[in-house]
Amino acid sequence: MQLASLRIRMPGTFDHTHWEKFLKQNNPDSFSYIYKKYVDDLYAYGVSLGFDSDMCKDSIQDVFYKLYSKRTELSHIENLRFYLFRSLRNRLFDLHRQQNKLEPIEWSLNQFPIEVTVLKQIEDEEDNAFLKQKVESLLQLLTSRQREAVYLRYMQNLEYDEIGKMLKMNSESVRKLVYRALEAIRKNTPDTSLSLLTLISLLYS
Amino acid sequence: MEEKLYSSVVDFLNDDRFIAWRLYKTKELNDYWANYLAVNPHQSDLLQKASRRFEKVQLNKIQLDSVVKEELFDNIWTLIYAQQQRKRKQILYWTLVAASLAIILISVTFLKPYNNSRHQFPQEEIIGMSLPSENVQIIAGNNIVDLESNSAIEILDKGHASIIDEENQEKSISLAQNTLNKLIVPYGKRSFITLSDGTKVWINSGTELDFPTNFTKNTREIKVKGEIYLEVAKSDKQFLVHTPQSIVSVLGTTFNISAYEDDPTESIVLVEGKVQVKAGGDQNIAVLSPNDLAIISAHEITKSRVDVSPYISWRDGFLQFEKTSMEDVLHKIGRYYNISFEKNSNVALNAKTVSGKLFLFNNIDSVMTAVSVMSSTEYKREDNTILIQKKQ
Repeated sequence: MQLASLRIRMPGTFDHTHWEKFLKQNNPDSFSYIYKKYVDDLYAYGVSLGFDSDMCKDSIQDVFYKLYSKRTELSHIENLRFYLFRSLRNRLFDLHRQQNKLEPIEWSLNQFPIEVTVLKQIEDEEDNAFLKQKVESLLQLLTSRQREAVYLRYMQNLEYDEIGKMLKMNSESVRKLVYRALEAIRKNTPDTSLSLLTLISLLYS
Repeated sequence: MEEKLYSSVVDFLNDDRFIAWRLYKTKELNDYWANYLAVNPHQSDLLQKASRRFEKVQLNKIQLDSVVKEELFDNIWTLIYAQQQRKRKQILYWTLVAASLAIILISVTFLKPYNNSRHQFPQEEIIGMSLPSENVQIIAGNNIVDLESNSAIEILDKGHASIIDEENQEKSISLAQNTLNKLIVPYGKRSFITLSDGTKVWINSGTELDFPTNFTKNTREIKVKGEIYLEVAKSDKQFLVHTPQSIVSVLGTTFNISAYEDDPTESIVLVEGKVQVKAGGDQNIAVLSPNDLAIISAHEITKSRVDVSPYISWRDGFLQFEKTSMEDVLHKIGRYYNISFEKNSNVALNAKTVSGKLFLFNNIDSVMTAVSVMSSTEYKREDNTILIQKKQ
């Protein structure tokens, strides 16, 4: 199988050593590395949840400040990305609750739009526009909650139980949510006759 | 079974199943495409190209402006330092009161104004200029190779060295066969090298290190001007470090040498094992045990017992200060960031003391923010000029 050559992004070991260095030696370059690595994703996630830019920045600041001050208690963290995403989500909703005591959160926020951008290339502009449209149309098939779950699962590589903890659902429900989302996409994609079984039989024939 | 055929990258990019796979790498989709490749190996190039192309498609890639990102990071550090200082202050409050009283008593400041029109208290500021940055260099025979800062260098067999930079990129260079190699780490940069015997050397800013490609003689010898931290690999061959003023000899041990030419003294701090320090003639010899500090000044050695951590913390990326004068603090920072701070002992601010840990970020603004929080001063940067002022 040549799949490895397709550069599937793995959770980096480099990342892990930085986390260790930060925890054990309090290494500032590692703290800065961690910040640089996650800040854009965190910001994008906050904005996607419907919060304004200042609120996202304030919350990111609080999350990293807490990460630093509580580092001696954080050695149990296995997935830093999950920890940061969850902390940010909680912080944003806490702040939102403080500011809008009466408004129910789920109505005012949480549309979770996914914006598609195609980085400019020398190649055909028309192709890019087409690609963008195609990806958007596939994502439009999902509900906002499905989009968030799928985003966390496949774009941010979080596990079902982690997403469950963030969305306050059990991991089985998240699995179903994501499954239904992918079903929706699958229904829209032609050529679904290939099942897993036929694939395997093809492989070993 | 009928297989779809793709004749160009665009065919892949138009395919919903391909897009779904690049978006959501589920097991099923992974399997599907692995199988596709197994059946159509000749299309692997095309598929890879399409995948690379798809990486340009980004979802919710809302990014913060890089300036905003740095500001946010500085804010985080200001919070952290402010909290650290609050903790320290509770303990040190009275000490500081006493210290500042002393400073007020000692310092009378009449100084040359820097720019009267712009600043209210021109006599109360320290001025630093950041200097153009130079590269870390290895000089091996006639070969001069420029390196990234914080590169790790390892001497391999057959006269080659492998160099790994911060991005984990590796390259290989060949070393000098008959002469010593020279590693130059300018101000503002740091480096790390593993010598051919396995000895590890952390090299601080503003340091020159001479080392052989292989230790072929009866003794292992290197030369240093500046500051290094050494973990000498155990061996029967003696290891000698030559500094401008002294010779340190060991078998296998861990220690720090600071021998800058612009410092009047050299210092050697032993972390582990035993070393012998010789300065000038044979009559000036001291044997150090762990936690011993040897100060060498005008070929005289003075020995004392110390806590080694402030001497070696630079290796872990921070400086530790305990009521260190602003002048010393800035001198050290200047070395790391290649900034020349104006030396003027009449400036009252120079006598301010700084206590705590100072992290050596790549970004000078984060560091200066920290210094100003730690010393209750304010700093401003205009391009390459840094001004430190009394808090207004």
